[in-house]
Amino acid sequence: MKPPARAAVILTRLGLVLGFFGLWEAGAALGWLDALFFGRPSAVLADFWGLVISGQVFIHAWVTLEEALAGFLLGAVLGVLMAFALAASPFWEKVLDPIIMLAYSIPRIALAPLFVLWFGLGVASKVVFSFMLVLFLVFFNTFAGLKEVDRRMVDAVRVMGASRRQLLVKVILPAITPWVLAGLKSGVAMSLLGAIVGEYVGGNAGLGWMINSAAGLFQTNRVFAALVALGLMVVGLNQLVGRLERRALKWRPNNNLLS
Amino acid sequence: MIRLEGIGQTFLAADGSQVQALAGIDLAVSEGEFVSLVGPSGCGKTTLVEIIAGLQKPSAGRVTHGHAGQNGAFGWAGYMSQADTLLPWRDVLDNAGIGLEIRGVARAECRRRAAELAARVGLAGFENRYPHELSGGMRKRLGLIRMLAYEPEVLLLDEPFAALDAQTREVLQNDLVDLWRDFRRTVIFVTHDLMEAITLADRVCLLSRRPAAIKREYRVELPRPRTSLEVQFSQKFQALHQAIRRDLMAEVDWQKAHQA
Repeated sequence: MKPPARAAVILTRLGLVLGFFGLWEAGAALGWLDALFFGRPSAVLADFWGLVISGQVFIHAWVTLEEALAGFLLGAVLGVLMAFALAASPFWEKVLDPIIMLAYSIPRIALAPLFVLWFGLGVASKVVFSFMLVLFLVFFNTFAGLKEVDRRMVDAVRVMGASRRQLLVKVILPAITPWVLAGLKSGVAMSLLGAIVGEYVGGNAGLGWMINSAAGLFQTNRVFAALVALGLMVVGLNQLVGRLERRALKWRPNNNLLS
Repeated sequence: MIRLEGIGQTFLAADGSQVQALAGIDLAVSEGEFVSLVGPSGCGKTTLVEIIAGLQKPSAGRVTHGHAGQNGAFGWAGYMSQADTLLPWRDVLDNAGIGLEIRGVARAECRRRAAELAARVGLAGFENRYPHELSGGMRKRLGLIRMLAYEPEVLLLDEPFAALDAQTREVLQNDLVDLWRDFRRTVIFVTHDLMEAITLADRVCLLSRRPAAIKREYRVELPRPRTSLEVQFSQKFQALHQAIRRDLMAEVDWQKAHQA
């Protein structure tokens, strides 16, 4: 199939987005949409700009980012370690398999109030919550990756006389890198979700808290302004992870099966 | 010199029964000799190579080779199977040099020695390519030099060219013989292809049906250098091929008759 022209893609995309916000703006201006409930793009931008000038948005964004990053790092490290531990011990894998599946299938969002109860209204409860969400993602991905490592590839290097450590560093870790990265990628979004939901449920700072308290006061434009800040943060983090991924996986063939 | 004494291997099948794959295999291969192992499919050729390589422990017998750390130690042999076991995240030179890297040789030196070998087998100009950018034949050539780079005494080859098309396979066979002549390694080469076995080897060993033992050995008294094209039409080759084929088919037929 012929690849679509880049200019056409960008123009159409821009058209869709501008059309959406244009309709929204017009609807609010003409009174079709109740501005109290739906806000208005121009007012959202103005409010966002006000938050930037006053520096408030940075204070709250930083709180959320801190919580998410701490949860992410903890979850990523422990997730990978847990996967290695279970992959190394068939006995514990058997013992823990149903327990892990059970823990995973509990909708953890529903536990948020408990975490606030246990760890307080501050940063700690959000970090723990973020951590719980990231942990499973990274664990499952890494574990699946470890199961997929080609035995014959490991054997080939083992016959050359590689030590266990060398096998780990030169074969197993590079082999599971795509899997771990896939887990980390979705983990970034998950960790933010954890921080935000934690702030909804009980908190006194952060973008999630900002959204929740503004919604309670019918400050719809403020809600959207906080969402803009959140969106920018996610885009930035995804860029970062994407760059990391491209660097680590530059050896991979591009097989885009659907195009 | 490598010696197999009374090698036996018994597996536990999925249904709990004991399956004896190998029984009492004795074989001595002298320094620099090229030996082919042939046998009916499923007779345990791969099992035997994995035992020699140290990847499986035999349930009976032992493998001796005059190198430090006998049974169970690695690093004395080169091993190549039918599977593509190149590391996809390493380019040609880093793949070829990994055996040296494991021995603590600095990366630049590994790459330098790998580049020399790469040039010998026609991989010059592809030094920085990744395996997925190479053709099937090139990947096998890279597999060969990866195995030779750390200069093992013995090469264990388990149907290394089975996945290739006939033309490419013939080219690779000639490459292997060239490398063998220059490096003078001891080679144990497993194949189900009799033509391949005879063309390459000094000696062909026929394994029997399960439980496999060495049924017969045939000296290949054909002059070297041999190229598959010349050798395969000679009288001597044809006679030998026929003899081995007859013995091999006897094993295959027995297997068929007793499976029915």
